[in-house]
Amino acid sequence: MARVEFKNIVKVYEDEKRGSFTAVKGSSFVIEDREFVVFVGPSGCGKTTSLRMIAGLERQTSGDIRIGERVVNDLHPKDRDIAMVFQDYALYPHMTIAENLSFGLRNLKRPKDEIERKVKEASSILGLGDMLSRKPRELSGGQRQRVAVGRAIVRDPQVFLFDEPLSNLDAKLRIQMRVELAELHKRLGATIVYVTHDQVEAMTLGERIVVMNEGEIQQIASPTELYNKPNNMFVAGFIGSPAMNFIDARIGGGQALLAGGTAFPLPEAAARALGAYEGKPIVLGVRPEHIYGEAMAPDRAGSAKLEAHVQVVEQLGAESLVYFRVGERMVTARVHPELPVALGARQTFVLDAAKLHWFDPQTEQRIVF
Amino acid sequence: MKGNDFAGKSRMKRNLFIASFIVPTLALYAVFAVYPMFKGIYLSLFDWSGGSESYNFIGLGNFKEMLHDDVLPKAIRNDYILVAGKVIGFMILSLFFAVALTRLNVKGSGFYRTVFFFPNVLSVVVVGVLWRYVYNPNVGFLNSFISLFTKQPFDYAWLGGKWSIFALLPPSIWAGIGFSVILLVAGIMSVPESLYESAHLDGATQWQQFWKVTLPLVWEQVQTSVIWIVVTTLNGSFVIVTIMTFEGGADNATQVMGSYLYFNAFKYGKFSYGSAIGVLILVLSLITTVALQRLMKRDAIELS
Repeated sequence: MARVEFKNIVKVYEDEKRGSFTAVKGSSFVIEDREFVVFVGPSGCGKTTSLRMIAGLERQTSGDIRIGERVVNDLHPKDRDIAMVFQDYALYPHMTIAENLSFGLRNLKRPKDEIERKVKEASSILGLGDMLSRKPRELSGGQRQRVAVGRAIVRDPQVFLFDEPLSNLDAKLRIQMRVELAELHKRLGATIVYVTHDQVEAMTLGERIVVMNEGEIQQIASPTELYNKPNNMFVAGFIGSPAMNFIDARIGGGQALLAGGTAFPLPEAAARALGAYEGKPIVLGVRPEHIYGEAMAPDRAGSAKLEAHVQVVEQLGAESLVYFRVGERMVTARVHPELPVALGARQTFVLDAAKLHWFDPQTEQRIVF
Repeated sequence: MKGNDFAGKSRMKRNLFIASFIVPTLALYAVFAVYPMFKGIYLSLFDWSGGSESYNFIGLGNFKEMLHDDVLPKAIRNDYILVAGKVIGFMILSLFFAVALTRLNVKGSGFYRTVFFFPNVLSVVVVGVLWRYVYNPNVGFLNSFISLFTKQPFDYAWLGGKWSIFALLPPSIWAGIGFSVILLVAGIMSVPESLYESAHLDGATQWQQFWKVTLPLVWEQVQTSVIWIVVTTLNGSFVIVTIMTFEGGADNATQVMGSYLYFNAFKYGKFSYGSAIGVLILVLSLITTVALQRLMKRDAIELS
């Protein structure tokens, strides 16, 4: 197995008609040996391009890519010791499952008994044993997905690359395959680079997550760190569901003055750190799960209270989502399902003082303290 | 009762609507395809000059005469030389061009697609005349070009020799290749890019990708092209033969069944013998296409 390293990778697409487009703007990172790293971000953020550059399907415009100890910039994909699972599985419709699984090894002219053994191994790992003589069209979506993974396994690569492999499956199957992939990673002990636009997939699968937006890496961190200490407003808003609420605010005299007129005293540490923003606009970030109804707020929550008219209530059974307006922005609170909420009534909510995030509205960076 | 009545009326309307599309086509097809075919078969059982009043029923007489006809075997042989040459030439060239226009990143491939299709739009008569100039022994482009490399002026009569049927292959292929190219280009473009990328990652060369991915996945288009070539050749080479070599070349060197049918029916006053040749063409076309379809049969492939 091996580590993967990007050093100042830039990818520019030149198009005669539309001009040039920079898909990846100078990214550097190291994926450690045996690590499961997920690239996540909205479409067009450069995550798939990054994956394809590791695979060798795209050539970076500048910078170095290392797999293991080798610089692979000009190495043919087949010599990079990687295997890739495609979003649409890329199974050959005219070949049987066995032929699909062995295609790569046959191209590499490996001995027959080795091919047979590896196909057997992979199919038993994935439970494809009795399907080897079938064609892809006779298989269900989940089974095709497994064949695609199996095709990567038989190659016995240093690095597995996954390009949105679950996006074509229905929700239930996706969760099942997610669990299977996590198990597979433990079993194979392989380095895995996984691309998805689904932040839940990223959070559940990734040991570390690379969050990208508009060709730039926003943050590389473990799921919990991304959730608790997002670098900026993009990461804060992208990770977590429902998304983090942003409320326009001002700092004045040790108090936070929220849009819409509510004010609450800042805890001491926050007041000190935010001193520089005295009288200036600032953005308060608070996750829906850190807003409580006043009646059910835990004691530690503190005194950050705000009043608002409830506009919509969604009962989800285990919880309720309550929507109300603060200034210009809609705010979501994820509250206990038994909290009495009256539509249109003025209600007091408590923000968990220990879980508030503050962002500079200009740079969108989180103010760290 | 009323409801039933209404349903009946609306069903009649629907049938009328469907009929308004089917009937005209069916009528034209019956008048211009079905009737002539059966009339031809019927006529082949008579001895009729084409103009005279005397119709003599002779049963299979015309077909018995075929067995002793010296020209007919030559015509059949020539037809199959054209079929084989065209199938091989079309398939090799059109697959090459189609792959080049789709997989090999040729600049301006849209332009070339149009260019390849261009000869298809030309009348075969124009193609024939054009190529007659290419092959002209004295002023033709081909001999002039070869003369550049020889001491003596080269003056081979391409359309006058014993094997001049082979000289008809290039114009026939040139005239029709656009159709196969377009068909195959569409087929290749419907193959998902990821199949090629996956093959590339798995170390398949361009050549292996062609044999293992492209060809199996455009096999249906290949089949369609081949059948189309066979049918149009057996039924339509008459035009190019007549335009380029008049009555079938020296000593019937380029005679095909179609041209022989024409000369018998309209020049030698043996209309019913011509009809019998027409029946032969029909039977051979059917046998050949069915045989080829069997030969080329593979599992239907669904791209999903």
